[in-house]
Amino acid sequence: MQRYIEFVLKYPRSIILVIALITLGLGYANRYIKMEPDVTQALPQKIPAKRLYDKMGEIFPSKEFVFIGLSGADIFTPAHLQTVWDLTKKLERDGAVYSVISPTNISLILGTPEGMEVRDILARPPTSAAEIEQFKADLLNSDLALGNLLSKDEQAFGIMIFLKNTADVKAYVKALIPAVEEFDSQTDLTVLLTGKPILNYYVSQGMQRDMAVFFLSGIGIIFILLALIFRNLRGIFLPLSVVIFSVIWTMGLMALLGRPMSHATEIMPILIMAIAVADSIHILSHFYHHAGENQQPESRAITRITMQEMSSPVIMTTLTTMVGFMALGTVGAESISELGYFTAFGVFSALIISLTWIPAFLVILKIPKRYQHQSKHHLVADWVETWGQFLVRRQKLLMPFIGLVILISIWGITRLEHSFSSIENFPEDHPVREANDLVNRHFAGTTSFAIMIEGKEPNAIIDPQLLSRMDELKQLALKMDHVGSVQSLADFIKRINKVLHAEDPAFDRIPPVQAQVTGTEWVEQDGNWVEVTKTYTVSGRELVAQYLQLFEMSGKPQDMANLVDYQYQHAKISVMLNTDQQSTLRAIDAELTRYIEENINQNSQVTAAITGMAKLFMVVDELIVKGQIWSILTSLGLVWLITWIMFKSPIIGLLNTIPLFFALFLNFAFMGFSGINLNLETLTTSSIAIGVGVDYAIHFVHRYRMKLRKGMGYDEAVPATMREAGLAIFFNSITVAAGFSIIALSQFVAIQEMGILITLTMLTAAFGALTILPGVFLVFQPKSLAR
Amino acid sequence: MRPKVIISIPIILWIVGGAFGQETGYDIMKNALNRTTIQSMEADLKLILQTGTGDTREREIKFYSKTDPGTDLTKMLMRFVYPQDVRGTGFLTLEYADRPDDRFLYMPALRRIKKIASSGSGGNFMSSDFTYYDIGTPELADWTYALLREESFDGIDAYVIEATPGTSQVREDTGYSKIIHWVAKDDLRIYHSEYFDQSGELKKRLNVEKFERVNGFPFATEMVMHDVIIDHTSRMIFENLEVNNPIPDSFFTPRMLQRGL
Repeated sequence: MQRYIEFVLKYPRSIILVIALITLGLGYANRYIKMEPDVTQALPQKIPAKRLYDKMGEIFPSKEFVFIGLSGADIFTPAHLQTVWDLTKKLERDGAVYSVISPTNISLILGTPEGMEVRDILARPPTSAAEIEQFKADLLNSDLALGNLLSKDEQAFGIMIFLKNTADVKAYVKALIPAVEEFDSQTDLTVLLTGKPILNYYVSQGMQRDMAVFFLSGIGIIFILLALIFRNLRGIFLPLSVVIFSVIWTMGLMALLGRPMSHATEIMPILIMAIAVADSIHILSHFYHHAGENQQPESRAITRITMQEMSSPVIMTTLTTMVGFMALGTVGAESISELGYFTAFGVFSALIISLTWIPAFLVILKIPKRYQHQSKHHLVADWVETWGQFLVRRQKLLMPFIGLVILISIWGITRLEHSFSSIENFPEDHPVREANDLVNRHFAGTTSFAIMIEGKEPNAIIDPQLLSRMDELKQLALKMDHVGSVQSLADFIKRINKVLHAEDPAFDRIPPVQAQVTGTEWVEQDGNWVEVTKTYTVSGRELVAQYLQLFEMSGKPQDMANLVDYQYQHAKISVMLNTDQQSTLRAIDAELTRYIEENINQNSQVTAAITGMAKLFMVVDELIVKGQIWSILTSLGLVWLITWIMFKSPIIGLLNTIPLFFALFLNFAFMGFSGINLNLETLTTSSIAIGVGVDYAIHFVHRYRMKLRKGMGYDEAVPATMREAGLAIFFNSITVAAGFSIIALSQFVAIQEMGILITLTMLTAAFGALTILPGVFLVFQPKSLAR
Repeated sequence: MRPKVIISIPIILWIVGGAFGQETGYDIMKNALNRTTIQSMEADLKLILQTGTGDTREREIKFYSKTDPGTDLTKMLMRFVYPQDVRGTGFLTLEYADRPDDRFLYMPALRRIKKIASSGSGGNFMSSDFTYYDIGTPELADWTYALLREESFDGIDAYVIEATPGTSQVREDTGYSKIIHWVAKDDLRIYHSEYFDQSGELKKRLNVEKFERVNGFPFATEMVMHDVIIDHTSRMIFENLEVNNPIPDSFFTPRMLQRGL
C-alpha cells in the first residue's frame, strides 16, 4: 500500500495521462454500444421453453408479428376499404414481411352444392353498397376474421403482419412507425400499432431517454451536492470526473465485449455514479480536514496522510459493494447478471480512479490559503450525537420497537404479489400503451402462447386423434378469460371437412379415426360402366391427408406455413391473449399444460409443450424471482463472510448484517403496502441495497469497537461513535440515496418503483445502522466487540 | 488505360447490336412461341417445393394433357402417385373459350368428385410457385414485346425481351406488370424469365435447367421457379415424356378421373 502511494506521489503527471488515455479509448468504444430491449433474448439455452422457442423459429417461417388496428365510426365505406386495400398491398411488398393477413386479402373456401369454391375475398376494393354488404358477410363468415381482422364490435379492422425470422425486426419497426404515422395523418381512421416488436422499440426509446435523463440529472445532483459539501471547484470537478470516467470505462467495456444495454442495465450508469462519488467525497473531505489542521499545508504531505488513512476503508467498502453486485450473477438471467457484473466493474473502476487520479491532482495542485484553518461546521454532528444519547436513554424501548417493525413488516410481506406486465410498465398516457389497451379490448390480443407439437416422424400431425385433441385444447382455451383466439391446423381440417360436405354443420369437426363415407363407384354392369352409390369405411388419416393436399392445392404456399411444417411433423397452436399480466399468464399456462400432459403427451408419437413470447416472459420472470431470493441470500452470506474476515469474528460479521435485514424487511413490507409487485426489476433492488448498505454497518461497527477498545463503556461509546461514524453514514446515505432517487425519473413504471425502493432501502439501511445496530449493542453488549 | 476500355465496350456492343438488330421483340417471341406441334402429352411430373429454410415437400404426379390445335384449348388430367396418403387424388381442368375453366377434384377417401370453382387464372399450380398461367403457353397477342438488348447471359447469347400486358385485363389475370425473357439466339428457347408483380417489383425468377428435344424443338423438362419475395422455390421435372400419343377426349372427363390409376 505504502509503495503504491509513493508511486502516485512520484509520478502524478504520468498517472493523469494514463487515466486520461484509458478514458479516451474506452470513450471512443462507447460509440459502439448497442441496445437490447428484449429480456427474452438473453435467456439461456438450458431453459426448455427457450430451446423450443428457438427451434420454432427454425421450423416456422415467422414468430414475430406486428398488429395494425384501424378504427373509426363507420369502417365499411368505399374510401376506408380502399385505404385498407392500399395499406395491405404496401405492407405485403416489404422484404422483411413474411405474410400479411388483412381483411382485404384473405382467401375464402366455401362449400357449394357441387363441390367447393376457392376465391380471394376481394378482387378489387369494393365500391357499391352491394359489394360492401357481400364483403362484410364474407368476412364475418370466415373463421379467422372476428377478433383478429375485425374487432368484436365491428368498429375496427385489424391487419396482422408476420415478419420473417431472418428479418431485421428492429430496422423494420423503425421504418414502419414513421410510415404508419404519416399514413395516419392521411386518413380519418385511427391507426393503432402494437405487437411485441413495437413494444420493444418503445422500450428501447424509453431506455435511451432514461439513460440521458439519469446521466444528466445524476451529474446535476452530484454537482449540487459537491458544491454544498466542498464549496470549491476542485471538490466539484475531481469527484465529478471520477463519476463520469467510471461510467465511460464500464460502458466502454460493455461495447468492447459486444454486450448491449438492456432494460435491466439501463440503471447501471446512475448506480455507478452514486456509489463512485462516495469514495471521492471521503478522500477529499479527509484531505481538507488535514489541510485545515496544518499551519503550512504542503500538497504532497497532506495527500500522503490522506491516502494512508483512506485507502483501506475505501478498498473495503468497494469490495463489499462489488460483492453485493456480483451476487446478482447468481440470478441466472443474463441481463441481471450483466447488471451485477458490469456495475461491480464500474465500482471497481471508480476505486482505481479514486486512488490514482484524485491523489495525482491533489499532489500537483496547490492548496489555496483559504482552506487552511477552516473549522468544520458541526451542526449535523451535534444532531447525530444527540440521537445517540436518545438511544442510550430509551434503550428499553428498542426491542419492542424492533418487534413491532418486524410484525408490521410480516403483515406487509403477506400482501406481496408477484407480477409484471411489459405493457403496464409504460406510463398510462404513452401512445403504445393506449394503442395496446384499445387493441386488447377490441381484438383477440397481442400477447401469445405457442403450443408446439413435435412428431417423432414426418406426417405425425396427419392424425385425426391428435387433431381432435388440438381442437379440444382450443375449445378449452377459448373458455378461459383473456384468451381472444386460438389458431391451429385443426381449424383448416374442420373447415375443409365441412366445405366438402356442402357446408353441413354436422361435419364441422375433425374426421373420426374410422369414417363412414357415402361415395360413388364406377362398376361394369353388362358391359357398361355405371355409377353406384356405396358406403365405405375409410381411415380418418387418409381423409385428413387428402384434405391437406386439397388445401395445399387451393391456397397459397404460405397460408398454413405458420401452423404446420412442410413434413407435417411439427404443428403450432397459437393462443392469443389480451393481457400480458404475469399472474394471468401463469394461470393459463398451468391449465393448458395440464391438458397437454393428460391428453396429448400420452400419445407416444408426439410431444407437446408451451412456448411463445408470453411463456418466455413468464420464464424470465420466474427465473429472476427465484434467482433473486438466492442472490439476496448469497450477498448476505458473502457480506457476512467478508465482515467476518475483516473483523476476524463471525459474531461481529453477523452484527453487520442486522441493519440489512432491517432494511430488507422494511423494503418488502413497503412493497406489500404500496402495491408494488415483486418482479424482475423491483427485486433487483435488494441485492444492490445489501452491497451498498453494508458499508454503513461496517463504518459504525469499526468505530464503535475502537471506542470500546479505548475503554469506553457500551453506553458511552454510542454517542461518541455517532459523532464520528454517524455523521459520515448520514452524509453518505443522503448522497447515495439522492443519486439513486434519480432512477425514479424513469419513464417506466417498474424502474420508477425500483428507484423509490432503492432510495428507501439506502435510507432504512442507514437508519438501521444508526438505530438498530446501537440498540443491539446496548441491549446485548456483545463481548466479541470489546476484544 | 482503364477508362478507355470501359468506354469502348458499349461502342462495340452498339456496333454488334446494330448489325443484327433488325428483328423486333415481337418477331422473336412469335418464332419462339408459335412452333409447338405438341397436341397431347403424357409425363411423370415430379414437383419439389422448398422453403427458404430448406424444408422440402415432394409430389409425384401422373400428368396428361391435350390441346386442340384449332381452338388452342387445353384439357389436363393429373393424378397423385406419391405420397401414399394422397395416392389417387385426381385433378381435371377443362379450358373453354367463353367461360372460366372447369376444375374437378377426385378424392379417393371421399369417393366423390368435387367441382372446384375458382376465380381468376392467377392461381398456383399444385401449391407451387408456378401459376397455371406460367405453365401454359402464353397468348402471343396478349402482350406487347420490346427487345431491350442482346447480351450473353449465363454463357448463352440471348435476346432480352420485355413483355408487358397488352390490356389491364391481362395484367389483372396474370398478376404481372411485366415479364423479361432471355431467349437463346441459337434455337430461340426461353431459358430464363423474370416476373414482376403488379407493383413493378421482381417477384419470381424462372430458370430452365434442362431442355429436351421434342419434335425437333427444345422443350423445358426441368424448371426452377424461385419466388424471391417469400423465398420459396419450386422445381418441376418432367420424366418419361411422351408427346402426340393419341388420347381420346373421353379420357378427360370426371368419370375417368374417378376410375383411378
